Amino acid sequence: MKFIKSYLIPRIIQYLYMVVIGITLIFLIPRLSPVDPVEQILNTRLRIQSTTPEAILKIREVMEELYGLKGSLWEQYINMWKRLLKGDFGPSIVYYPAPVIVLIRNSLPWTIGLLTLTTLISWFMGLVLGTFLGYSKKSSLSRIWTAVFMAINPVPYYIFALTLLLLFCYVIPIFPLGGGFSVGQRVALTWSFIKDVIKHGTLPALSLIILGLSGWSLGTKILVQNLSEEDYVVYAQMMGLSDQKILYSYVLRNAMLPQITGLGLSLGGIFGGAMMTEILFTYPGIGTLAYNAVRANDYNVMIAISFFSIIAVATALLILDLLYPLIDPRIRYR
Amino acid sequence: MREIVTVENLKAYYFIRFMGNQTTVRAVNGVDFKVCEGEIYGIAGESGCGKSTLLKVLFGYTKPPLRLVDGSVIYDFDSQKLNITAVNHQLLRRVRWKYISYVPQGSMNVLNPVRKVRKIFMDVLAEHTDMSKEEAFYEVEKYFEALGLPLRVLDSFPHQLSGGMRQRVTIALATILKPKVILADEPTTALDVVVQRGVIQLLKDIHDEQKCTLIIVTHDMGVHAHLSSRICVMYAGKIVEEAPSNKMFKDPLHPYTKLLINSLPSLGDRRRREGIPGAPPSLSNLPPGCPFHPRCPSARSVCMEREPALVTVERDRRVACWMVEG
Amino acid sequence: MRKLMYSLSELWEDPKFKYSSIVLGLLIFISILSYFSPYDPYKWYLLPTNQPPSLRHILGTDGKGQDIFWVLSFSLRNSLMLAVVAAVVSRVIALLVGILSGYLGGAVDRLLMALTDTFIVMPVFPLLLLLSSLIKNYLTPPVLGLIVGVFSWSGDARVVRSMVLSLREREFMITSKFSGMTVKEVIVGDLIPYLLPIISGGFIGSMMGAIGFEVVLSILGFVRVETPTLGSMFHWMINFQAMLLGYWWWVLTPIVTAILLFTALYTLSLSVNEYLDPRTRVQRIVVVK
Repeated sequence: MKFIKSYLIPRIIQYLYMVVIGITLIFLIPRLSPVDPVEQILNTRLRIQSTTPEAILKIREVMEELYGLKGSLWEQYINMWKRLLKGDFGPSIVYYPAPVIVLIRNSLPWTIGLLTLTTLISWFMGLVLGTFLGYSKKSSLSRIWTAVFMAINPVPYYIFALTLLLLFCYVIPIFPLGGGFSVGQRVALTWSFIKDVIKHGTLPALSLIILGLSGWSLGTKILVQNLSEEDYVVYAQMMGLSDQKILYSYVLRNAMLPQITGLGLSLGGIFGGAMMTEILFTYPGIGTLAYNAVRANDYNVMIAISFFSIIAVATALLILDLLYPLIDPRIRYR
Repeated sequence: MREIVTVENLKAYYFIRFMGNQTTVRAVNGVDFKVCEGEIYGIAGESGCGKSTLLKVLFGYTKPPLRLVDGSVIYDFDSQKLNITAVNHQLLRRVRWKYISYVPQGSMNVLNPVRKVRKIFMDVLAEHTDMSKEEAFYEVEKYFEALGLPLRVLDSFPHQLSGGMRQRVTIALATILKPKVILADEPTTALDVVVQRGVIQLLKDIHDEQKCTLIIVTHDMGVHAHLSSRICVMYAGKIVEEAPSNKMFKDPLHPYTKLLINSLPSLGDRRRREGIPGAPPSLSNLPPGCPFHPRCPSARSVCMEREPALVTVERDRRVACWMVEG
Repeated sequence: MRKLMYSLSELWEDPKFKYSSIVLGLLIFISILSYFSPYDPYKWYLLPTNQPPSLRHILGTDGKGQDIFWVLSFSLRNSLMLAVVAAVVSRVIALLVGILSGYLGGAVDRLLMALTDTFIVMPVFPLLLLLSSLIKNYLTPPVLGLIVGVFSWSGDARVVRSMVLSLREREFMITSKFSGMTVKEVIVGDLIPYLLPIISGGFIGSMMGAIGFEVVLSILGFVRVETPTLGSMFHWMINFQAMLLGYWWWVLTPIVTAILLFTALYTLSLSVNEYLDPRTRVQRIVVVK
């Protein structure tokens, strides 16, 4: 009971206001910007056809309806919430009249599959490697790895990905140039389809894992370095405990706490997609969807993606908050 | 009585380079003493006089920037003699906890915050004995019962315990293997007076029960009065006086010892306690002559020029002061 | 001032700092040269296209008939300006929110922290995309910097707040208050010097973020790529298929510059952080063997 009142409820309130502020921002940004999205679309789409002024007016009305731009600002705001709560994001402009929600449903598995896997792999490997780097920081092996990661870490992702692409698609063509699966391959749960997906996903995954790994490793390394100077680690060494024991139960166990928060946030951030990756490797996920939406001023799609991103991150945070007392005994459900 | 620890001409310095300047901190600067089996040997002095460093060297824990420069620490256990300053890592690991153990400063955060107390004990047992998990489990409970510590502590995390209980737990942790020599570094610091008593009593009980040798470092002369059978007073990395506890409190010879004892409150005494004026000298930049002369109320000209040697004045008393020697 | 000179001379001992300041100095120098450029960066086909490096055009010319060196010079100027605007804006907001929140406490604190927490978890990238697609034609480098700045202050605002909270309890704040100083005087006189270290570290980080974001937007074509920036150099290089055509000078210039710039900023922040962090400060005490 006490747990619900003083731990759960404040966190749920926090969750709600995060979502509300975030969505309000999404609502306000297009409306505060000096550009009228409807005008913009009318200009670009209708330039080719000659249309009568009455027809334009008619189209404008329909568009305003579709975009939820009818009525006063307050009415629009209330209407937006009503629609969002029903899961209705309106139709896509580019793929009219396909509903936005269907487009998202089609792209989402690709993104989630790729990013969940790469995030988990790079996080786990980063934790292990970083612990090693931090704990035996004087060994030459650790020095070399640290130097390698320090060199990789600041390299912008697109340069890194482009290099991989050049190397493995042109110079040594062992991977397909891009796409989520081969053209002509039937989308079904068959072995050959799965093999095809893995083959296409390897290079984008590799690019994400290597960069992610270097980031997580360096982060963990610094954590571990600081932890190795903690009294309880020094004392465990004095007690004559084996290095393995100290590393595992004394250092790593403590280093994991902040890293789990980091993992949770990255997993929550997956929904935003990895646009650069998906574009460079023409991968059919949320990032590509967002890219095409931005290029075509498909606002309903962009708003839906932003909406889901905010929900995903806030939810990840909520789950973390609720799980954290289980991992860190110092934090109790007060 | 057999001498279990023999320290000879021990010198351990910190070599530090900071902002381009190289400094040598002479934390332990030529110390020798002997401790007999079963004794409680106290090391006193203000903070920054090298007591804790001395204890670390006694434990064989010299990590850079601390480096052993000279001297030896020889332990004489029943079967073998052991110079701890010159043994390899493997042997050191075997000797620690089983023969020599270490109780850290009470203010330190020495218990892993995410590990239950029982687990920490079982880590030690797993490392140093061939007990099975189950045996270790009960061994810890048995030991806690023997020490009169509540068993619920075993299933707590360190942050759930009070400061006094944490210190008791660390003492239990250091003594569970019944070591021959226990080195305790300021075990009562940062605890309030009532709790201090309990901790001192626990140390005393363990000492009486296990017949071990206890070397205790603390700046608190009150603790020494309760516990130590023999005391040495350190100043600026050196011993300035060594005597049995009762003699030292009744009739301190060195002016520094006098000041230390005078700063102690005693029952029924309403006078304001006076601290010792001034601060101990920087160990990287010692004054010439007797290092205590700038603060000494009875310094003479010879004190500023030459350093007095630690001389034996009675059978069991040594002191380093020009006034006493004369 | 003397303290600053001393800190700098001490930092200079650090090879990381030496490397990064030399590289950054060089890049800033190149960007300043743009004021003496013989060419207008917005005019195409002034020169023969796709010429390899020569004495006349030391980095060659690109497919738009522009001298790559001078394009680079303008690009660096714009990208650095954008980065500095973003960093200044985000620092100012972080300081303002953090100090107000920590110093005033109460309802103001709760409100500001609710906002901060929301911004911390806000998926900034989709929002920025939404925004930049709307106002693409207004997105000059300083405006982009401003937008990035507005979206990247939240983490440091929290750090500043907690610093203020702990400083507030310290004695000198109480003495300052008793001696009749106003809130403003206390903040300027006492707090800012303490907060300076945190700010400088975040400054570099937010510069890197802004430059990186601009490059991403440009490659995707979401900003006005006619304006010479580091990102637009990538954009044209990719668009003209310079890689496939083998114009290595055109391909390598933005890549090498970006790597130099990012590694320099990264090592600079590492070096400054190490210098300011008391924990590593102790580690810097070198052990003589």
